[in-house]
Amino acid sequence: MFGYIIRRLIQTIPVLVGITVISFTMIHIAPGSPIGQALDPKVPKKVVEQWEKNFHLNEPLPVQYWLWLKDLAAGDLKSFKDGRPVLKKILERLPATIWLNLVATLISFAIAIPMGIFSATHRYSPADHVFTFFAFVGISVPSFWLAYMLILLLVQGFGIPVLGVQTFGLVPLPPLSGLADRAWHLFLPAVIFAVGEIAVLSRYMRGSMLEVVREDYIRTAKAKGLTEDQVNYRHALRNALLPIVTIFGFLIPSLIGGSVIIESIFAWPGIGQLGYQSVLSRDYPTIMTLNTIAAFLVLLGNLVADVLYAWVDPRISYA
Amino acid sequence: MTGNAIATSAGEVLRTKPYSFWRELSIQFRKNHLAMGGLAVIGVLFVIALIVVLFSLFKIYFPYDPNAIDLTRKLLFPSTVHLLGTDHLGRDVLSRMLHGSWISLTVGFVSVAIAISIGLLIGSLAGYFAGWVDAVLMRFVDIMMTFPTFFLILTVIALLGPGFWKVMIVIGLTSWTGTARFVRAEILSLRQRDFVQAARAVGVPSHRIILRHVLPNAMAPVLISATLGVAGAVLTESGLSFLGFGVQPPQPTWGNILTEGRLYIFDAWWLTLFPGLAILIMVLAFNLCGEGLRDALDPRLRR
Repeated sequence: MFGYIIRRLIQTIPVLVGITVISFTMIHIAPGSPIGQALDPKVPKKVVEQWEKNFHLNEPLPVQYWLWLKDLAAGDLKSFKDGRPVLKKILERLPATIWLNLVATLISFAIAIPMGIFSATHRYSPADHVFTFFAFVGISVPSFWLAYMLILLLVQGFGIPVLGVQTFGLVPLPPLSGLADRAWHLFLPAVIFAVGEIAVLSRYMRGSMLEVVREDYIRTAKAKGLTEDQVNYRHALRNALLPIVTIFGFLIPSLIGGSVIIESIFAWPGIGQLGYQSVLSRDYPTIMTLNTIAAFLVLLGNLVADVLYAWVDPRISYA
Repeated sequence: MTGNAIATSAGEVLRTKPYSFWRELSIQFRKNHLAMGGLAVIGVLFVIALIVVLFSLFKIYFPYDPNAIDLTRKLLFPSTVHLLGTDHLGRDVLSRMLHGSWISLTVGFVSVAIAISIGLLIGSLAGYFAGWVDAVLMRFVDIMMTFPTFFLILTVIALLGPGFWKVMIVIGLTSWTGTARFVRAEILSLRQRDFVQAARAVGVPSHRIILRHVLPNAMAPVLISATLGVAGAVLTESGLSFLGFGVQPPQPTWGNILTEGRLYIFDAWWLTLFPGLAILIMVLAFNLCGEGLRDALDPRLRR
């Protein structure tokens, strides 16, 4: 197992290099100098030159790439916008994004897994058809539209505030109701986030369960006279849950990718919002770092998924 | 019925010859009501979009000119005059949505066409030639797959500046990796088959083997991924529009009608509700259709 992990890590090296090369060159496909795009045209030429020097933009591209890589690895990369280290800005935003993802994931697992199991055990029943249809709606609905419809309903219908981390102007709150306020503000974006996940996960769970039900040992269990429930929950479910474990590995990358739209709607101060703000202000060092980190996380997530799978399923060995 | 059918004593007709692949697919697909519903919705959307485009070529707009501004009639509640109400500039929302329909369809189809072409090219080269060609191309696919797609698209569009064609091209250029992967897998398994070996043995050139003998056998999964791809592309475009980087106003698209409308959400909810509903219905139709095709192809799911 340990050897497998080491081998996998070595295999990822060329991919890692490729990721940094693409993250770097992507910024240079835009016409004109990156600085010219980021700064006001009225800024004096001297200042622009100073900027170019600070960010190594007067060097040839391969040298720039090398310097960028060095800064990235050392955590010295500075934002165009406020000159603060990019890594620090990202780390500040991390807790908010993790909370959001964590709650969304808990909601979606709590709903999707029972839903998927029910669909599989009651295959082609009316309830299965209804769940299937709603899973498709969940995959197809634009999240921002759903968010606005919910906001409209809650604010217009019930007068409940929803944006930000806590209710505006209510800062000195007693600790307990302050916590409740924060929890409420976390809940709505997490629900919107969860809708898509529930849809995907419940279909996945259903498929996995139906796959297992075909196995020989299930037939054996039925043949020896176990009840339907015993077969489903004691024998089938355990194995059907195995592939679901790998989902945890794929959740890591969604920390950055999935939340751009939802975080900007709910004014949620997470990484997705930082990404959108950097795109708007053409803060290239931040954009490049986010893209690179996100890609790294995907690689890490895949590795974690494979290792988890081997860990929970003794039939798989990566010797 | 002659030749390939026999009648049993019970009077049922049994076929002795199997149906062709596509015929079988169509029979299975028809059994799936949700998928057939999706196909019907897609058909209706197509007809609407086609009629609207044809008439707009002759400067005939209905029910109203989608770009006619009338500030005295702004933010009107839906009524018999304006079925879906008017927006903040007094433009008729129904007319704008009708004219937006062909843009959504075009974005979906063109970006998928780009993605599928690249995926087919890369996937068949890697699968057919295998060896180092495969290794290099698949590492490139691995790299592309690790980027967060939506953020990547957002970044590139922000750098290039938004626009109708740019949006389609960028979505297409970033969503071909899945196709490339399964086309490669399909071709890796096909290239060892006897009929391919036979073609090679009689000296058929590689490009002809790929195009005439191998690719047609890999077309069904391509069709599935294209159908699901249209749904994804329409959703991505609407997300980009929402963040201000999609197809730009005054060109109406469902995404940007919604985006302009959300500023007035508490005064004119219909500006947000209807375009979003339209996006949902279109994406849902393509998703149901694509999944229906996938199920129809999977012999284990046959009833």
